[in-house]
Amino acid sequence: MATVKFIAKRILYAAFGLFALSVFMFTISRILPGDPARMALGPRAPEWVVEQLREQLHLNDPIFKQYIIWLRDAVRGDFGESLYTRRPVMEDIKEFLPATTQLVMLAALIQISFGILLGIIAGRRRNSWIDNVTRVFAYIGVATPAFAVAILLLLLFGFVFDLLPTTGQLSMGMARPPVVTNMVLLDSLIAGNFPAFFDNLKHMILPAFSVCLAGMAQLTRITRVTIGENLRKEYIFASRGFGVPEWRIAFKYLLKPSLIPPVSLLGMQIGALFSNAFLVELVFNWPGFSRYGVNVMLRKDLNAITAVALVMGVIYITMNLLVDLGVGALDPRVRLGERNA
Amino acid sequence: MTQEHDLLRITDLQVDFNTFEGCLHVLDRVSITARMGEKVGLVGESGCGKSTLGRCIVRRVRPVAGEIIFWSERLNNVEDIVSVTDSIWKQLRKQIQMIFQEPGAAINPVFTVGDQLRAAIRFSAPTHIGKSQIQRRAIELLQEVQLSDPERIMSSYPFQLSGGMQQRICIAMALGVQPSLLIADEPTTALDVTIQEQILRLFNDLVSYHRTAVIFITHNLGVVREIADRVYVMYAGQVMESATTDELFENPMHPYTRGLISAVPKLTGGGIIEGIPGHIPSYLDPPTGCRFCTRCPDVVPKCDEVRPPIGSINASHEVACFLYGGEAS
Ligand SMILES: Nc1ncnc2c1ncn2[C@@H]1O[C@H](COP(=O)(O)OP(=O)(O)OP(=O)(O)O)[C@@H](O)[C@H]1O
Ligand SMILES: [Mg+2]
Repeated sequence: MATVKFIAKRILYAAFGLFALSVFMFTISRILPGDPARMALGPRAPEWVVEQLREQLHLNDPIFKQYIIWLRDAVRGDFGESLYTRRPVMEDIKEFLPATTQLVMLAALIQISFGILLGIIAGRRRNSWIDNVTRVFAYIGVATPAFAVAILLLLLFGFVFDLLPTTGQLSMGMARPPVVTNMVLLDSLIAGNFPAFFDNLKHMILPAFSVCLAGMAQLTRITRVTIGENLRKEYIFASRGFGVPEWRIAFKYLLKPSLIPPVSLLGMQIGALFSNAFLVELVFNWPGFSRYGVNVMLRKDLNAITAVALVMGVIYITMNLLVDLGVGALDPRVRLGERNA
Repeated sequence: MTQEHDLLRITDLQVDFNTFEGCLHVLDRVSITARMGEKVGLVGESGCGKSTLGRCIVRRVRPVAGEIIFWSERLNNVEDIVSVTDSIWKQLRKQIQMIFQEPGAAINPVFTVGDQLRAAIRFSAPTHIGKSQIQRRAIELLQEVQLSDPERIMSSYPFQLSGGMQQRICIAMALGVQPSLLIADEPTTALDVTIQEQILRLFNDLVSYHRTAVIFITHNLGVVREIADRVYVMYAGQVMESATTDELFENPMHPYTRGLISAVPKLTGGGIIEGIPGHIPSYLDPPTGCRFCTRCPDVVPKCDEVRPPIGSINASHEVACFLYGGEAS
């Protein structure tokens, strides 16, 4: 019961957050200087043509009215037409977002599993060599920007050792599997095309590592600290005194309280994953959302900018909802609410 | 056989803490014993090292010198807790349970009380026991510590319970393990008088039914008088006097004990410290002799240099003070 209420509350917050974001993005994109219609048609288009486009885009209406019209279409999934690609924005998103999504998801997977695993090992063996190695790794990871990591990895594994592919999603001559989700990894799996699956996976290794290195380092550090702290807690000692087997203490009584801070941190890291992906995609020529996003912004492509921001907002808010649920599942004080709070 | 073996014999235990300011010499050659089924009181004012002593027995604090000899009925052997190997300690540790001073510190905040109580019963049992039996035993234990509505308590998380309830849950968990030695560090501080009364009775029953020895740490002389068979009086990390409870209260010998006992009627919620002028000496640089010498009304010159030997007044009364012998200096 308490859980249902907790989820309902979070969804309500999420809806409100998205609404606020749409108002904000819509307003910003309209009040910034520059005439989108003129930019779309170029400096040589006759004024009456430009005026026609303005009329068509409702640019002459008051902002409030423009927003209502936009909202009416948006709730039906219609975000208008991109002035850059001249296609419905929704279609652009469907084409470009999946590549970024699959990259970020793999990055998140690596980040979570390796970050937490290394943190656990380092926390259980403080000041051992492995702790020192992860410490150095963590400092480097936190201090190096993602695009620098990307360029380094590109040079190192792509050119010096020539071990891994460094551009695009698939090798030359590898046919793209039939489009279902537009995520090559998933599509190749659906088509049973394993060579394409592994080829795509190989292409993802360097970009994914570049995207997640900093987050992984943070996660390792915080997990190490909480594991190390909880290891000295009276209640862990008490569990040992009851004769609870050591593995059960490690994976149950120690892990659960220790995961609360790392999982909370994840919520903050999701944004970083996407912004890292934007730069890393450029380095590895990954045909994702970033190039689209940058281009529409430079061209003041109103509909596309708002839609891009909203899509990011939906992803961000959904992920945060999941993280909140995760923290709630781990921590009864969050799930059930502290007394007097 | 039970009479021959002391369950616990601590000799010349010495504990230092290395801190930022320097080395704290907290416990100084502490020796105490506890027999099977005995209720031993450990009294002294705040900061005198009572909890530290208890923590040494459960290996939470490592002494720099001394022995803690524990007789294990299960292993039918004596072991020195200070120096045993980890694998032997693993077998020993279930037989020694400590109820920590901070209520709730021993309860994992993210699991239900029932989960932890059942774990205590399940994993400490010498043979496998079924789920329903564990559940029944858990409810029984919660009732024993006077918690009403055990089912609700079991499905609660620690943060949903009061400090007193948490304290009693810790007691229930420790009892669930059926140890042969129970160290209870101020287990009734968060409880009101009636419940305190019932918990003390519970400890009493425990000793008579299971022959569990209890080391009762407290600064409350009333509690000691009620529960303990024998009392150790500690001051600033040294044992000053020990005697059977009746003997100690009728015939206190050490100046510190006398001050302590005569201070009791004046007590109105404050600490026992109020009865005796002065402060506990710093553990950074304590007197090498008797640490009470800075406050003692009967101090003689050699007190701060030479540690008075522990002298036996009779079979069950020992005191470490030059007023009662140990002239050799
Ligand atoms: N881990 C530690 N590090 C440094 N000093 C410590 C540590 N544990 C205890 N001490 C010091 O040892 C002394 C004795 O502490 P202890 O907790 O044993 O006192 P106590 O007799 O239990 O007091 P109280 O009645 O207040 O619980 C104190 O001066 C304390 O500051
Ligand atoms: Mg204490």
